[in-house]
Amino acid sequence: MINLKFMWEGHFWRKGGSGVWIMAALLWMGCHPSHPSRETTKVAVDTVYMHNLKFVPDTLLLHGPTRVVFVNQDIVVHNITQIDSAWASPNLNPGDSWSRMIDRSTHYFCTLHPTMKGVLVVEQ
Amino acid sequence: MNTKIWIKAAWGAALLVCSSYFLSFAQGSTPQLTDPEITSVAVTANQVDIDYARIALKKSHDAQIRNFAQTMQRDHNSVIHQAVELVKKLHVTPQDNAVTQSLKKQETQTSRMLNAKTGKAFDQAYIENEVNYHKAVIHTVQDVLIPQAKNEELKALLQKVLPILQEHLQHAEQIANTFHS
Repeated sequence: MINLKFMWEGHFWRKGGSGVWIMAALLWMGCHPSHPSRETTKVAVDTVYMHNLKFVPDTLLLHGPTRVVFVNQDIVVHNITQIDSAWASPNLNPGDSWSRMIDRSTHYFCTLHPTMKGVLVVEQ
Repeated sequence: MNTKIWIKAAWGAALLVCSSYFLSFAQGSTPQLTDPEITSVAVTANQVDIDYARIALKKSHDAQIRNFAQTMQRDHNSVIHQAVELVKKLHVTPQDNAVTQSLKKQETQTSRMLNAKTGKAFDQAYIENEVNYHKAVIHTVQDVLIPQAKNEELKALLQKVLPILQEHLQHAEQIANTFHS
């Protein structure tokens, strides 16, 4: 637990004290544009719903690599399987969701309901 | 003949053309069902298809037939689960009726026919029956059960079931086509 009394009154804030250096480092990390933690927060997220035995939207345009969340709103189990089986979700019960980072255009479908099909188009 | 009788006659004709599954009531007129009777029809119609799937999983070695049958078991069980939950919530007791009896009678005959077949003949008979059965059930849900359901939650559940049945029909038709080609 942080000792606030020490931070306020003690060596922490004096010239050359550890607090000055820690604050400087934190400020630099927060402002520096190439810091990795800022990169991860930039990842785009989009959603596809499984609703009335359809993927909605059935074609989703993504502006670069995007994490796509699939949400099962139906009362039956679905899955999301890449057309060549390069990747697949587990079976998703009603109300469940699953996500995957998509970095290239692909077709997909539900193996349990093969008439349910979708397309993810990634603009590079 | 008054308008009401004409409408009933038209319903009867439409159902008769659709399938023999609901033959016993279709020959007369559109059945007038209460909500407890509708829940009974809904649960029975789902259970009948689960029973057909059980026969398919026992007899078929065809991968697409087995995948379809597993989906039928899973999906129709989900629908029954939803219906049972709703029945409990609404304190409704499903009530046996002429449509339910007709479904059960037809199931006995169809199961006998399916059990007598083997190999590719079984696969073809099973999937053709699935096509006809889903056409008949879609027609009944769409044109009899949904319009007659009084309770809004029951009506909403039947409306949710409709796209499931329509997908099953398309899936069954796709498989049936592979047997004809």
